[in-house]
Amino acid sequence: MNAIVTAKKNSELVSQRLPPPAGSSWVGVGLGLAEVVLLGSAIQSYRSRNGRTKGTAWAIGAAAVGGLMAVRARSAARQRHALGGIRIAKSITINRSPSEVYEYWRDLRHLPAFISYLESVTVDHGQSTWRAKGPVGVTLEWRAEVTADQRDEHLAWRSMPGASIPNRGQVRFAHAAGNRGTQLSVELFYEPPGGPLGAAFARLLGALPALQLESDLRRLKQILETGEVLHSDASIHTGPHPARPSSQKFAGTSTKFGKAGI
Amino acid sequence: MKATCWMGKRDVRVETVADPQILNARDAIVRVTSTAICGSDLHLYNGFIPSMECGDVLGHEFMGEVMEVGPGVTNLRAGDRVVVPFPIACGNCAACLRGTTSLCENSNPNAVLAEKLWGHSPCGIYGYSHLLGGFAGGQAEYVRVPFADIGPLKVPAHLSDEQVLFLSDIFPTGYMGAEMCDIEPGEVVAVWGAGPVGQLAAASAKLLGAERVIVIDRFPYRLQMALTKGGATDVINYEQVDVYEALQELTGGRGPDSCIDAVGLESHGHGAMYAMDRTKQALMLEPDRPLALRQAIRCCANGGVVAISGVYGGLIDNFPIGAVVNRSLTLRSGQCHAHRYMKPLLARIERGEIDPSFIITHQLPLSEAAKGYELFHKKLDGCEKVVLKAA
Repeated sequence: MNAIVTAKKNSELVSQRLPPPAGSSWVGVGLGLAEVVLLGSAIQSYRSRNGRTKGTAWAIGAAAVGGLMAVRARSAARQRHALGGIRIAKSITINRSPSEVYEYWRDLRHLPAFISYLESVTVDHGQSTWRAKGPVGVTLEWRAEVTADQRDEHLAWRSMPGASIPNRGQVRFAHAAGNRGTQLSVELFYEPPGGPLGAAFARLLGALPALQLESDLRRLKQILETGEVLHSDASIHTGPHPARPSSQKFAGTSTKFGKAGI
Repeated sequence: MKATCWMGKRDVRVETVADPQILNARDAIVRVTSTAICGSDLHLYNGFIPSMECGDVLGHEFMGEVMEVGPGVTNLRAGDRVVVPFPIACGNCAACLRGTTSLCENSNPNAVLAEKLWGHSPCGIYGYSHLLGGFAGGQAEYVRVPFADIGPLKVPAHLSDEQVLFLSDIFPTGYMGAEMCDIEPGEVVAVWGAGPVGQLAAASAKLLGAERVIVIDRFPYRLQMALTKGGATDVINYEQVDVYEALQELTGGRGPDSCIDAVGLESHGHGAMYAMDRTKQALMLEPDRPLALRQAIRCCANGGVVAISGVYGGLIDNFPIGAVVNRSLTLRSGQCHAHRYMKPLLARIERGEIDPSFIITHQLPLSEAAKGYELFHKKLDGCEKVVLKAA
């Protein structure tokens, strides 16, 4: 299956109204406005807290904002023709076989271990219930169903009718050339809430969910390659924090602190 | 515990902070006995490295005693005496399996930010900004060491801390600089910078068979050290002579077969280009100041190698690409893949081929870290390398 999606094809896909036509393999996972706002505010607070020092101001200027603006401009251009749906796509190479990566992802209960905005996913009667942390402490919950499942190759799902943020997505598991494990390609679509205004806002921040998805995939890679999500002294906190040991007591080595505070 | 914290530009303080804890299964907690201030720490000190936060614990050259290990560490136990390599590396990813541990794909939790600056992310590094992970450093009484099952090297009791401490960074870094030069018998290697990495790069070039090793700096005491202890056969003080002309003379007009930039982004020099770099750096138009690198490229023999061991963080201007292309030069660089050099270099130390402790000029208690940074930064009191004793 061709993993390369052209820009033209993208906009066609994005412009499909949800839910997708019957038989379509494009189905989704929820990426809410929640994470857009969370990530946006994380970067905002990172910027304002650190305006004090020249070094960090430079960092934000050069690394974060500059990079984000560039990506955002590209994303905005790509999504200009969309009728309201947002597409996010990322790819990563994981030094494990497609079968191992597929097995891990196929058990949807694993997703909160690396997808930072998810609190839990439970599976029952062929469907699943997803709980996500929204902005200002709001919890979003929706039901989803798997719509395509080709062992070791492809997995797709979508939210059930009635979800506050209709969404769908797919994951492809391909052999990475040169015995480099699995080339994992993830594509997510979601319909932002709040009508045209909300859609415009979400599009404006189009690059941020992409960064979040990339961080999520890096955590998945860490889990599958090293056994768990790696924490640093700063990343165990949700917001910006000096790189010094925390005075809080962290028990055990679970992944519950794996929410990297960018 | 006590730890050396970065509080702002040219402001480091030893503060009381929380003790580190095991956060991942493959972590160890090390009680630091000796730790050193690296030349690259001066780039942090001087505010050139982005994404430092007030309160960050500094230090990536350290060694000590294992106090505690996580359930995933079976090769170390409490009481082991270890030197810890400065790149944090998982040992499982494709980069680590190739031996290029400073390119570890899993050890930088802020890889997404680093990618925006550099295109792709390198490994995480202790005490070296949030772009490189936000890990607390080792200029402290205790430090958390992730992936302790593959990083720390146990060292024999008969070798002193001073003899093995630099296996953590600068000895492998200098050695890798010399190794990148592919030195053949009879060749001439020139090293820009007689700081700790330059000294050990020169010494390594000698170990690897260079006929002649020429060290370039502006501090007579450092050049003297290179001549008497560091393996240099010749030295050039760039404040007294023209470096290009001097190298032409020393090499019969060929230029050095390979050149090592052991200076990095804060190099000094003369003339209009230096003034322009300094001005642009002050205005934040050009993050890095590449005088030594430009000179190394100009001086290098046709078909030679220019190896960059010094640290650069961002962008440079007026890069002499014409010299590189038209004269078939090879540029090589990289943060050191320290893991792969530690054992062989320990063996060289044990065999008495080299004792890297010759660079140490100052030993201070950890509590005097701020003084150590000042001595090193201002090159006061003949300062070459500061070791802090944490225990």
